[in-house]
Amino acid sequence: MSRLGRLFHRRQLDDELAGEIAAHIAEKADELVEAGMSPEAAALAARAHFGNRTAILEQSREEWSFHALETLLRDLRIAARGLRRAPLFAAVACGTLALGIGANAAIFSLINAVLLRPLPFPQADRIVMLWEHPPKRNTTGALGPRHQQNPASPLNFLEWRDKTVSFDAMAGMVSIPMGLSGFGQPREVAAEQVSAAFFPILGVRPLLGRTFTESEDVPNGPNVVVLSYSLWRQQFAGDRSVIGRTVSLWDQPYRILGVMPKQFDLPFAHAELWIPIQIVRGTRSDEGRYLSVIARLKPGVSVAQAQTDLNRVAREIAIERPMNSEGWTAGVLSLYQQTTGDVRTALLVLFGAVTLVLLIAAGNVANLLLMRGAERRRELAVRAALGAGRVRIALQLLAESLLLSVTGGVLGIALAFLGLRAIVASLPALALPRMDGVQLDWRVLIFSLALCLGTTLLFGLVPALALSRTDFDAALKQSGVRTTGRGGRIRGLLVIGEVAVSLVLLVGAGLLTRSFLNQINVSRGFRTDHILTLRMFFAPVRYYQNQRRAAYWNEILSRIRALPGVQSASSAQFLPMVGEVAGSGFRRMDRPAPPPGLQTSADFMMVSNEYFATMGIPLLRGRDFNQHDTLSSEPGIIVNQAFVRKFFPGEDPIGARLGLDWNITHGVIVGIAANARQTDLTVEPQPTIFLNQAQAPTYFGALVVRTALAPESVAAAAIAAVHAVDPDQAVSHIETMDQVVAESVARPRLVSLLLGIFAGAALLLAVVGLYGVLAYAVSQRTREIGIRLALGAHSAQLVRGVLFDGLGLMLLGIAGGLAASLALTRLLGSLLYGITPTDPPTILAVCALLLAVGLFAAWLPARRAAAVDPANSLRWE
Amino acid sequence: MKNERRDLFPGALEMMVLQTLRSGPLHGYAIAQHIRQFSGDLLQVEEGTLYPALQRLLREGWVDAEWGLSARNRKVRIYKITAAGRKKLQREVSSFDRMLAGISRVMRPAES
Repeated sequence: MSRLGRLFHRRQLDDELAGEIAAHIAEKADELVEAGMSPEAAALAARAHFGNRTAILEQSREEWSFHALETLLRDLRIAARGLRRAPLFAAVACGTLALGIGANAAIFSLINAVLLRPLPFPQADRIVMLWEHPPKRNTTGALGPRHQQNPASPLNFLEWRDKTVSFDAMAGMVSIPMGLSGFGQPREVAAEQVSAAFFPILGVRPLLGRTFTESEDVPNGPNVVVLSYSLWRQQFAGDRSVIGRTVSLWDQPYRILGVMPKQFDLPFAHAELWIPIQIVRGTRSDEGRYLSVIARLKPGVSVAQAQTDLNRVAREIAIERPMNSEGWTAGVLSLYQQTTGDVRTALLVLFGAVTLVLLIAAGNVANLLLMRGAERRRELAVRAALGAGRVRIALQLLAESLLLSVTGGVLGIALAFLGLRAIVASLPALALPRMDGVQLDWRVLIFSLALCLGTTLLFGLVPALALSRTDFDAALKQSGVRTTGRGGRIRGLLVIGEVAVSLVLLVGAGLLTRSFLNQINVSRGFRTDHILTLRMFFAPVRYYQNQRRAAYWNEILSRIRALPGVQSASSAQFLPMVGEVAGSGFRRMDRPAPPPGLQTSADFMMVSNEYFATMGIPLLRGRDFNQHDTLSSEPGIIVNQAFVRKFFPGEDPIGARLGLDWNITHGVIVGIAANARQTDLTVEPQPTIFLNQAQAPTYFGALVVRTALAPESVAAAAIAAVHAVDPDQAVSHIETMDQVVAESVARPRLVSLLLGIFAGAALLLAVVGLYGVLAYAVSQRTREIGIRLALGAHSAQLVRGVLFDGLGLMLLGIAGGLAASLALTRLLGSLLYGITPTDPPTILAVCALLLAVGLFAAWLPARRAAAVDPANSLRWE
Repeated sequence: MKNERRDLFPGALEMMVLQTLRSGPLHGYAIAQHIRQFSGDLLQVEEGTLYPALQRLLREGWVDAEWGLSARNRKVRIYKITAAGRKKLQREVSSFDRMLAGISRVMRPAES
């Protein structure tokens, strides 16, 4: 018989063995009878001589292979039967584990997609981004590296490229929206102007055709374009014959050179097509900083070495051209860090949080198992008496744990799937990078499986060992059930741990929530209600002349102001709260020109008439821009309070003249506006120079429209008004200002919301654990309580006793949790705004909350203890 | 639960079973009796431990078993040593002898 055959003939083998053993004992008994023993005594002696029959049967079976698997299956069957008999226990345990495992699987999916998934480029670890860093700014709050990353000027980029030795290739990139026409409704596409080296740096070959060459990436080079896979599919239905055909971008024909493969995309510079950047040397604008720079390190060169190399070149530049480089530095960052940098901390914090939730869940299930085990001591004792070894009993208890955690795991993964869909759907597209890759793939499944097994050991092992060590003889002799001292102690320790862990989570959630509230309640300086915003980019060919551009802005705004329901309308080069701002140098004309390096600079903003009224920013002095400000009149300047405080302290700036490093070179201050935040909610208002779109018109900007009713109601009419002026004008990002602000804090909101949910779950679990332990202790002590009551104890005393038990556990847990949170919340530092990681009010509030909820959890069983009827409880058993 | 008593060294019981079966087929109880008598009750083998050993031997193909009748006319399984079993026994005996010789030398170094 083959081994496999024997597995299937198990019953036959068992019967044979049992028969054989019976025969053995009978033979022995016969022999003893023949020697003169009574048959009864002989049967007993024969059996005694043979030894533990069950154990021997089992050991004999173990000689056949597949024993372990078979035992596991049998144990699982037994466990399933046991759990079916205790549906409430099974449901609570599975639900608890599903919560813990599901939360872990969900957060791990995010981490997998955002942090672990490799970047879709060959040798991606050699791809880096290069940035300039502005002189230290006067800002407060938590500023990620993002805020210090400034694009480079074309001039600096060219010098970096030519003078560094660490890079195989270096490319400049500029994101611009372009109007794609010739396909019905004019459409704005995300275009990226890039150097020819861009494609070789990323190391991806085109799917069709070719990418552009160095000879095409020169000033006045040809109009050529490489399409993204998605644009190719959408606009050309995946037609392979598009190569060589032309598309119209902003009225200009561009020849299609190639199509890139599907996954070719940079998460922070999403593009639907690429055109050559064709940098012109020696123009006025090549000192403006607007180029993102990407490069590939030479093999074997580290980021640190490249940084040293770049520092050297940056210092040379600062000596050569101090006017525009004083205080500026340059930095190298790996593409991976660029992509994941500022979400890494948040994700890891969340991961830590869900791990803690799982720990609490495991603690609770361990507690449940211990209590259940205490009630099953007689059953286990009977098993032991029938010959089950301690290891067998422990393994069988573990099988039950395994069944619980696998069931919980499956439920948890389903939960994770639903939760993830909700998270992804609720997030604006760019709140987390690489969200497109969030899915339950094999890595997530393997992680969850490992989690199930780990959890099984975590919550199953302690009860299994504790119970299998029980003195079963005592258990059998005992008439009733009693808690053992040891079980009680373990349960107490588990509850203390749970309380400590949930305190840590609650403190973390409290801090993040308060930080989030600090952000949204910060005095932003502008109103967000009843404002519709739309963004536009003008076709450069059509609106090349300042005159036309100024007239275009004016025409659009007059039409929108005339719409019913519109109270005022204006434009801004950069909408507040989208992380964008422009800056440049200026000087007071009433003072001598400062030496190089001591130049003053400020933020520059182009706005139209009525901007301050539309945004609800008070004009403190002077006047707003008006229709008398034109290209032919003297440029007017409005400055903000921060500007006055810094550059005109104690003076009246109205009427002062400023020289500007801008396309208009000077202007006169006509008004002072109150401070308003621009970049995002965490950045304090910066000294700002407002110029007039009618005098320094931009090629792009946002329309802001103040409405009487819901802003969405005028959206269609506003777009129609734009198209009435230029039917080809693409309009994008049609949003209310409230939405714009909400998106700017989407990530902190998500993180604090998730952490809040996890902390809430932890609190609930810990409190249920505390309640369980106390309620169980009371139910075990019913008899004792009954005796005490019969002997004249007051029920109030008993209530106090139970409450003190609970309070003791809570206080120990809180003490442990405080120590742990002081150590752990420091990790939150970079996520917090306007609050310290050891904020006493938050910590005190959390402690109070825990104590209150904990006392309530203790009060319920205490009340039950008081309600014990002595007569009844003594009859019990 | 009592721990099972281990025999002298791993495999000793199997060796004794094979040795016992060399003189002819026997059923389980007879094997146990035989071993007890011949070891002069030196080996206090709990009789039951014989059965796991027999299963091991069956599994390895060193013994064969078929149902038959005992001297008391009871249906029992009768074990028979196979050719492979004989070979195994030979190997074990010679290695056992070598080991014994080695132990002796260590225990009585002066006499060697």
